[in-house]
Amino acid sequence: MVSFQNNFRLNLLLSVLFFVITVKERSLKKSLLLFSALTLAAVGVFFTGLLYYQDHQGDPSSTTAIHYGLDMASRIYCFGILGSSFSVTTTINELIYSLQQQLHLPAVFAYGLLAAFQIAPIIPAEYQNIRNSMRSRGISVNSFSFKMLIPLLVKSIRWSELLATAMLSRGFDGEGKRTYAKTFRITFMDTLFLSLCLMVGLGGTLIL
Amino acid sequence: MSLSVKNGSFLVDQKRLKLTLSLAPGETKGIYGASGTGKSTLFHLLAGLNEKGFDGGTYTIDGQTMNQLSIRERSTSVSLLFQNPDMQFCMATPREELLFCLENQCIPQKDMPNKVAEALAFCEITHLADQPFTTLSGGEKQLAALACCLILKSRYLLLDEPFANLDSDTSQKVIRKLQQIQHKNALGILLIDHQIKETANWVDEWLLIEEEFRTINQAALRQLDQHLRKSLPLVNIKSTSNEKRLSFQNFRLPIRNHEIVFPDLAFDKGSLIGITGRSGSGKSSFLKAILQQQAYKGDILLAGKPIKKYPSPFRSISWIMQNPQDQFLAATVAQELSQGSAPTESEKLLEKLRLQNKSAQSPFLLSQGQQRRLAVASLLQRPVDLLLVDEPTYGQDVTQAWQIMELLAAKATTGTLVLIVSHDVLLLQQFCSQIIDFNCYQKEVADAYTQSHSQVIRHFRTRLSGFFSK
Repeated sequence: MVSFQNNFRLNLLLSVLFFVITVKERSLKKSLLLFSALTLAAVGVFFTGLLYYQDHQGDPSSTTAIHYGLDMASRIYCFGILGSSFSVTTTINELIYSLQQQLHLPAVFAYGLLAAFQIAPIIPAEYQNIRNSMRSRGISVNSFSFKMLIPLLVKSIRWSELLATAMLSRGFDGEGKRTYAKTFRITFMDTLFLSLCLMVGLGGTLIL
Repeated sequence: MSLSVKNGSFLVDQKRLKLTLSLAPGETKGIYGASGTGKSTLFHLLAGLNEKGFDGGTYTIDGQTMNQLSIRERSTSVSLLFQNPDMQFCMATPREELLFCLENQCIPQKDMPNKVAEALAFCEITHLADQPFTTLSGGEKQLAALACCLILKSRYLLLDEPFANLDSDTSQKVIRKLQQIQHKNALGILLIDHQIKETANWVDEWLLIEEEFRTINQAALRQLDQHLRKSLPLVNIKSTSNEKRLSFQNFRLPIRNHEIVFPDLAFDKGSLIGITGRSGSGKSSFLKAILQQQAYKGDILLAGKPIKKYPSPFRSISWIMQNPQDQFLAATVAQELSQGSAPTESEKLLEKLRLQNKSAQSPFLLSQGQQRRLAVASLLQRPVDLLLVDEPTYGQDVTQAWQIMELLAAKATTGTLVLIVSHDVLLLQQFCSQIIDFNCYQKEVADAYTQSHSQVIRHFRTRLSGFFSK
């Protein structure tokens, strides 16, 4: 709701606010990376706004066009920083545990998802393996060959089987009761944070 | 009070095997048999990971029938240490994995940290608790898996070739830990092993898989093993031509924060060279450096020309990887053997590999030992200058290991230089004209800055040259 505004000042306020809140979580390198990516996108959007703006009469005027471009560009920063402040403060594990405990996501899905995230980093290495193997046999391949996808697919099915057995052998039972190593609850602070955000958003829309 | 199977029957390759076994707490028994005779299948059945269970007979644990136990009860009665240490974890780090085990057991939250700390400390992996599994070595992974068995409080432990991937120092360490745990919790242990030397003083009784299961004691098995080794045909290492195929100049290999300094080595065409060393001593990285997939200093010359200058090192080198599953490309065994540029007379080869009735099966469904043989055989067809082989005999019984080495030796007689990385020094001594021990080479602390700097440059240079060579 908040960041769908075409309001330059509000967007700027929110970006700065959330960046300051989460500044500790990021390293300098990550912040720079985030900003360079966002700036790249924002510059593009700014010029799109600038060049294609037409007011009600249909003729382009320069100052309003610049304003429009800035509005659009500031939205990019707002989206980017809100999104990244979510991703730096929450790990995948925390997100999934929380979904499981509060929205009652079934354990089978939750742990299935977690396991899938463990496997994701292996895929590039596997891709390299398959490539090496093909070259070792004297089969020439380019990087986007379909030949490479088939072994990769077979292997991912194989992984899922192996993971299922591994989970079984650790005593995982999808239907049975379980305890949690960490509990996630909605506390007073969470509600306070949510209502504060809403107030800033609403207030900002009305005042600025 | 024991794990007991009475006339339990199961199918392996259309053959029905019958098993009667009883394992008391605190007892250690071993299973010995040729690869592909159904040892891993049996272990999955015993661990209750196969839903159907045994076809016939009775399987009870401490008086309770296995099929009536819930998943949770099964995991507290029997734990299986898998053959492949890579794919047995569901979480990212040892600590999370242990917590996952406790969650499944419905242990109250406040007891968890203590139990985890205790299990980690017992297995001496406290310093690795929050490291991702992908960065741990094979031995460390096995210790972590052991910690899981410990925390599940399983009463019986099944070990599926736990030491196949470890060097002898590490396996001695794991065995010591196992003995301690066994002593502490009166654990019944059943293990599969081909290297009976390592477990000599520990296993009370062996079960031999042939046509039927047969019980024999340690001494008898030793005799059998000796006999088997003696019956193998002798090899004579041929003198090779004096043509230098592969040579190294000022070669240095960075491993973690060290650099291994190599003397100037040179290998002749058509010879078989063994490479050995502790796990993590850089053997696999050495092979990768030859293939230009790992940063190094100095020069590697193949047939007198630096490999760096070759458009693609794979034009004249083949690489047989450590994990055979990494290199299967085809849907069936027969296709796997005929992939690539050279057609084969596959029937004869299949028979030699003892895979004759498997030609239509998926390579992924073979047993680990069979996969290894297939992987080696499928890459032997192509004529190359240099063949790199990483652990070809892991998970093989004595006869099969011998046959694989013979295949490689036969390949060498065609003029190919074969480099074999292996932990099995005895086997290497039989076949190789020269053995290189990485433990002997001196290590230097690398200058961290220059190393990373050169790595970055190398990376871009290889990318760039790779791009233009297309």
